[in-house]
Amino acid sequence: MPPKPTGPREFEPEWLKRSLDRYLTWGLAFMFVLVVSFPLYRLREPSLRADAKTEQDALYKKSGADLFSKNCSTCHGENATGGTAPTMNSKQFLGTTEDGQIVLLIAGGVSGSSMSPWSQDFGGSLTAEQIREIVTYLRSLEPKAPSVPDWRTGAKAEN
Amino acid sequence: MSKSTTTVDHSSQDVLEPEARPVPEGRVARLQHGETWRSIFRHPHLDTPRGRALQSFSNVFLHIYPVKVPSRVLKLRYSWRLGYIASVLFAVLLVTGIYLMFFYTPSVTAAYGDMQQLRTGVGFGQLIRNVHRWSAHLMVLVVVLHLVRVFYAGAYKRPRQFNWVLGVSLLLITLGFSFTGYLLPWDQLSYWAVTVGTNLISYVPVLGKQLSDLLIGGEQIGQATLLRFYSLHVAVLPVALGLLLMVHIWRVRKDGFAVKRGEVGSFAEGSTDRLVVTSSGAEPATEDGQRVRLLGVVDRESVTAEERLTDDTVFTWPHMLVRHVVVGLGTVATVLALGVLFAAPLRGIANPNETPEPAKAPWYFVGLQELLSRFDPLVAGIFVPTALVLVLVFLPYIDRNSATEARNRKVAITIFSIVLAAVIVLTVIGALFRGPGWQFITPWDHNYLEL
Repeated sequence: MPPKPTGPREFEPEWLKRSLDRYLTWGLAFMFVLVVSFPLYRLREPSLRADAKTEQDALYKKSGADLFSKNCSTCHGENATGGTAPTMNSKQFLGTTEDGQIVLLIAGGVSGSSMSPWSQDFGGSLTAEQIREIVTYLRSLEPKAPSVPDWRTGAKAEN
Repeated sequence: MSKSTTTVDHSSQDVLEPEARPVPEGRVARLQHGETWRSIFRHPHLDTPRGRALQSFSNVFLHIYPVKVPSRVLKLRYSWRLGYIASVLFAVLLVTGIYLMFFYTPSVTAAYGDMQQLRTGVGFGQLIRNVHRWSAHLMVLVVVLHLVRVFYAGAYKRPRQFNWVLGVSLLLITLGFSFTGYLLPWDQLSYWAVTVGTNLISYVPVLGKQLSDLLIGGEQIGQATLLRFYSLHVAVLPVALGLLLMVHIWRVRKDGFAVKRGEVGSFAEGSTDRLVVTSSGAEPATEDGQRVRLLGVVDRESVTAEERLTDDTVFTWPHMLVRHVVVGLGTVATVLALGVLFAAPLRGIANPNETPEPAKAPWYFVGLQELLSRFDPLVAGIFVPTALVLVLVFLPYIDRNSATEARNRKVAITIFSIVLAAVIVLTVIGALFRGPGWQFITPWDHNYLEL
């Protein structure tokens, strides 16, 4: 097929131009996927984050409960219902204490009491992550916590 | 000067300076011929062979490409673009990796919390992590496929032997990348996969203990290991891969495309022989003492298109370039879609006292783990992989048969195919058919493979 000397693009065969156009169409489709993906993900992101938080809390709560029963229940009682040490499973305690405060109490201990520092930073046995897990576990008790106004004394504390 | 039938000479219309041409009507045209535009793009968009060549020559990014490529290179099945896709994935990994670095601390007390924070508190954090992870897995896969493709095409033979060596080194660096990155989330999955992987090193005779200490930095994986793997992952390996990749791509360009050469045209056999360019045109150098005026020594490739006979080549710009851009976009779209659809796994925090059942190495090492469960660790863990890597690296110098057609290299293809099949079978068994205690299980009942 002799090329018609009309336009400047005639130095290339027809199939090459068609194949280029096909690629450009695919390029547009891929661009569309790229442009649409981000806003779509943005719409889903809040629920994804909430799910991740729920999942993380469930995981922390489970290992936190394990850690509590191994390390804390001797004094604070099974399920934190109190023993020789204060009752953690109390509406009054959980309602008035921030997570950060509980972390500090576990990590640093309470001077003048038998509560020793638990953080590895202060010679204890727990990592920061494990303390966070215990706090997540305690916090999960809050919705069903019974009213124990004298939580400080503990259930079996000798007065 | 003879003209080809497919190449029409437009050189009479070409003008280097657009000022010499009448500026076309319209705003866009005026902008394109204006001062600012021309200060950025040195050559105007001329739809002529010479215009195309000029645009390639004068553009720094297009320097990677030859001005023209054989038209067969445009076909997808020529290379499946695997090497190119691997480079695109590396670019994706660099960008997403830098974003992840903003939110990550390489410390055993903070790393896992950072991963949680990435999921629950960082904008696009989970998405970017997903894309990073799926791109990494895909890159290992694509690099391996690239190697397999190059082997079957016989593209590692003269003059590309050394580029094959570079390619195998790039594969090893890619594996190193994936393996060091595996540890960074500091969850149970990463901790135990890396434990299983690094245990192999202790089987090395004589130096095993020292090597293992060097990599892990202690008796067991801990803070020292995390920091070492992190430094390797974000500093050492990127530089190593970047440098080698540069040479690798440069060699592809310089060694020429591994296409069967045509009988005629600029890619014909012998067409790249050195010519002496004389004032009267290109002529073969003569040895009879004829006095010629030497203008320069050039490869035939860079002689302008008008001097060629029939020609099966096409211009890189736009044909090759558009294909590359589109395949690149497709690659990014694919990993982005994977990232939106599938979340990267994150198990509980790493716990040295609680071994998950089964503890599996990353998927590309699981074949080795399977081999280890059957044979003596020294054989399965050291001799077999070392021999495999050495043979792979030096393959072009071992297989000295110069034929590239499959029918003339039956021995090489048979051996390679058997080894490849063995690797695939071992990997599939290790990945899917092994459960707790490395007992045989059926994958449709239980899946213990985690990516």
